[in-house]
Amino acid sequence: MTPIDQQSGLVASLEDVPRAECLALLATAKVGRVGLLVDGRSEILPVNFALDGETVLFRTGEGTVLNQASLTIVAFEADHLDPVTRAGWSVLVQGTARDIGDAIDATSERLRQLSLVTWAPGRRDRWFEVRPDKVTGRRLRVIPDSL
Amino acid sequence: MTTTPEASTEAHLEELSGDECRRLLSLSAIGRIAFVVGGLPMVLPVNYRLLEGESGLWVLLRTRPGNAIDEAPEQVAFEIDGVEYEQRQGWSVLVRGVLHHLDHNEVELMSERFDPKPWPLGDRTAWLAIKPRSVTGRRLHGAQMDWAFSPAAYR
Repeated sequence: MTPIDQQSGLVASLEDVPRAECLALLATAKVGRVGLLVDGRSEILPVNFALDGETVLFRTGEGTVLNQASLTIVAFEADHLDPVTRAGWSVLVQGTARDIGDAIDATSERLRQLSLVTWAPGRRDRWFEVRPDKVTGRRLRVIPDSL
Repeated sequence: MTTTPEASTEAHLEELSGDECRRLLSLSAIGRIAFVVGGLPMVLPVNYRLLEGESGLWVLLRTRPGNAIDEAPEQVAFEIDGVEYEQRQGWSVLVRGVLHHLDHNEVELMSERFDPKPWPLGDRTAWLAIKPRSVTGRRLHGAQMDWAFSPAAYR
């Protein structure tokens, strides 16, 4: 680790975060970003999401060009990086996104409880879930050098 | 009066002008870069600086040589977003473009004027720059901010 400030002896540390803690951190984020390949181009879009255990849920808007076959490998990322404290974390989930449709009974109940989005009557939302194959995270801290 | 479970979302998306996108890009210091490696999409946060020069816009990144970003393919997407809770709005700017690795001379030139100063220190000496092919942005207004996944909105 390299001192970032010789005078105050602060040190920046970058540490891997275990999977369980990654999911706990994810649960604190309000916005995540979905990264995937659409028509051969990288796309990245912010989404509001909910975490159902280890599964990430997000809503698609109308006119989405997400693959109709709805089995797409995606990346989902969320972070909290504070420019002032220079501390934060970032979590990356990689997995397969699956269209769970607009008539999702058991899941919709859970979604309501998760308060992801209030449901407007007649709205045809399509939901996707991402079950993670891989969950990685990094925590960045600024910590005092050895005392 | 009954409180309905539905908030009056009335959310609407506003497309941002090029100038507004550039303004937002110039104000932030953290973005996320997205690319696909070995069939797996990656999204990683990065420190960046916006360079506006004679050759147009560049998004400058600094990273550790050999890490995932340094080995990203040419075609990348880059995103910044923010939330203004008081104004009940969110915004997002999306850059799609080509990732370049800067050579020594270019690095000399850039480091004097624009150094992204990444936070995790150590060996962060690979310089990269994204040349945008397209820059688009959206502002989401609404009592309840709700980003839905809709690539169509960014075309």
